[in-house]
Amino acid sequence: MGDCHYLYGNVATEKRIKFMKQLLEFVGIEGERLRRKWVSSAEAPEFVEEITDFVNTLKALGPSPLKREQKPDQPSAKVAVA
Amino acid sequence: MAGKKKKEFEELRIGVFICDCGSNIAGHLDCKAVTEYAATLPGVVFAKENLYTCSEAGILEIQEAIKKHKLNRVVVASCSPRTHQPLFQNSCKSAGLNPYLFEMVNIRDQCSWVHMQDRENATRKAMDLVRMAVARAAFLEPQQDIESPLTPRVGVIGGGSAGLSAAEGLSRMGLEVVLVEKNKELGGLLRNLHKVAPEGVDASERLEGLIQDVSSRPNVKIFTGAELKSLDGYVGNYVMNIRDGEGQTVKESVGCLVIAIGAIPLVQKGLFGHDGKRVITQMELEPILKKGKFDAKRVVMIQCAGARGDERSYCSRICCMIAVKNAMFIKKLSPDTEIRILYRDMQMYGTEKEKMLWEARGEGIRFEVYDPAHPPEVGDKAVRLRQPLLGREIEFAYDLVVLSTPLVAREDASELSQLLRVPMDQNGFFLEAHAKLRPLDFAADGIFLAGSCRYPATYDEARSQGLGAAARVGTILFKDKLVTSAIVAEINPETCVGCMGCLQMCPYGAISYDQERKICQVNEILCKGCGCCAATCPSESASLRGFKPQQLMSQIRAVMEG
Repeated sequence: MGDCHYLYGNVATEKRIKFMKQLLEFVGIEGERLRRKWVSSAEAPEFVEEITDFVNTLKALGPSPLKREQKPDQPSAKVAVA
Repeated sequence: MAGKKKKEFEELRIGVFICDCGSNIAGHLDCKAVTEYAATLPGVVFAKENLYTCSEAGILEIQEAIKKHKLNRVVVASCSPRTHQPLFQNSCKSAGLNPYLFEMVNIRDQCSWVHMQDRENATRKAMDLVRMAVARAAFLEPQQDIESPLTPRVGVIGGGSAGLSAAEGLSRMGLEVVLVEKNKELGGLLRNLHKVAPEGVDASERLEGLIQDVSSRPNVKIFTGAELKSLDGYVGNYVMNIRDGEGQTVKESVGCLVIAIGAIPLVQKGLFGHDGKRVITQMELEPILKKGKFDAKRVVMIQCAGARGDERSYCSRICCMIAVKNAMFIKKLSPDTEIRILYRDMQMYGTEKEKMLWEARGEGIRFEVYDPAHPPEVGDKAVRLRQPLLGREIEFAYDLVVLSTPLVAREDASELSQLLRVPMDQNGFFLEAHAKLRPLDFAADGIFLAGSCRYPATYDEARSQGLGAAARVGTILFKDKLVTSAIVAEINPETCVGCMGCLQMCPYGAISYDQERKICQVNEILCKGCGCCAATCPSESASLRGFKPQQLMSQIRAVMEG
């Protein structure tokens, strides 16, 4: 903490993640589906370990409880350009 | 906000270039398959595999494809954007494509190199990454780099050896300098010094030359007894509010600043019995030596006095050299004086200082190591020392004890740090942007630092840092105008309700509140593009160019499609 390229950006992230977890739980999505960890670019093994662990957690949780009811919108291929 | 954008519908024509990077990528995943896959993605009209996309042939191919296939987006899947994005962006630009319509994806460092043992999955992942990049590219918008004028003047805060050297360097480069010194006289710490190590030149000789040179320059404006009270503006266009010697407030426009406020030698009453008479600091010894009369016959110097302990954990790094320098000078003035230097570790870095240490030993100056767990005790007549090697206690009678105390940060440094919005370390020294890559820069653009306010420095070091900072200023002010990346935040004035949530979050003070329109707005020069405001804004009014919700969501959707 406090070691952020954008000064106190990560302090803000910490708060935001806490809030997001509560929001997710409020709409019926498990808070474990959102995870935050500080890993520097020099800590490859920690990063791999964290991601592997997260993937395993997500696999164990299975599909989202909201999945059955909703289908994602397809993005359109043609867009406006200036 | 720029003028209203003319919206036209245009067919999306994306060109994708997959780089083999020799065998760096192609050796671990199937680039041919990735290229074939890329060609099937929506909007892609051209896909090509290159042996080296960054080679002249590769670049030429991109430029020809832009013209021949009327590409309006280019995606390169290769190595790190850190090293190669500017190159590819520039080649797009010279082929007539807005460089912000370029997207790069790293399938080397983040794919082929990490999955060397798993060709099949590495290939699948590369496809996923390319699909994401193509999806994002579809939503990219053309941008213009931000240009702003530059004021070719520089503010130098601090008129010690570092500040004077910076002022001298800047003035010689033809830039106008505004030098602000808090004291009545220029010179800083050097004013009190006797000799400058390792050459042994008179400090006053060095100083007078420097002061004379700087003060006689027509493009240097000097304020003494003055202080910087506040700073407005941003890189290229700062305004310093200075309180001058008469207490008047003066405004000076400058493009950049050099901070060189120095540090103060610690003088702590009672430290090892410090009384300023028989127990003094190295700094208090200097004027005695300057007078050229020295009668003490037995001198004990104690290194790391008040440093490298619980209160101040850092090493001041120059006091070993100062002790040796002064000890050798005492020997010159009074050859039969016995000198002992009690030390923990001798920090005599560099060949010249290492040589000095050997010469000092040759002159009969004695060095005794002590253990920080059993520091020397200074009594009325003698210093007691526990020799760690022999484990026995010995006493040295003394006439004079000299403490090598550290340089400590100035008390007003924290005030200045808040005023400039630049960080300090736990010891109150200013923190550079990067210890190795940007040692004389602050993270804030256009503000540089030099000398002992950064970390204790010798005269030579302070001087070279001052000149170095001047050179760093040159990299900004010798351009016609300031060009910064367009990847900054913008706030939609139509939807902003002026809640000021973003204003609180912005680490760079780049957002201000417009009282009249009751909305928040971004200063594009101050903005660093961190996106804190965009993540905070409850109405998506604040967004980061190139990272708008649509652009990010398209990427996320694309990865889910796999």
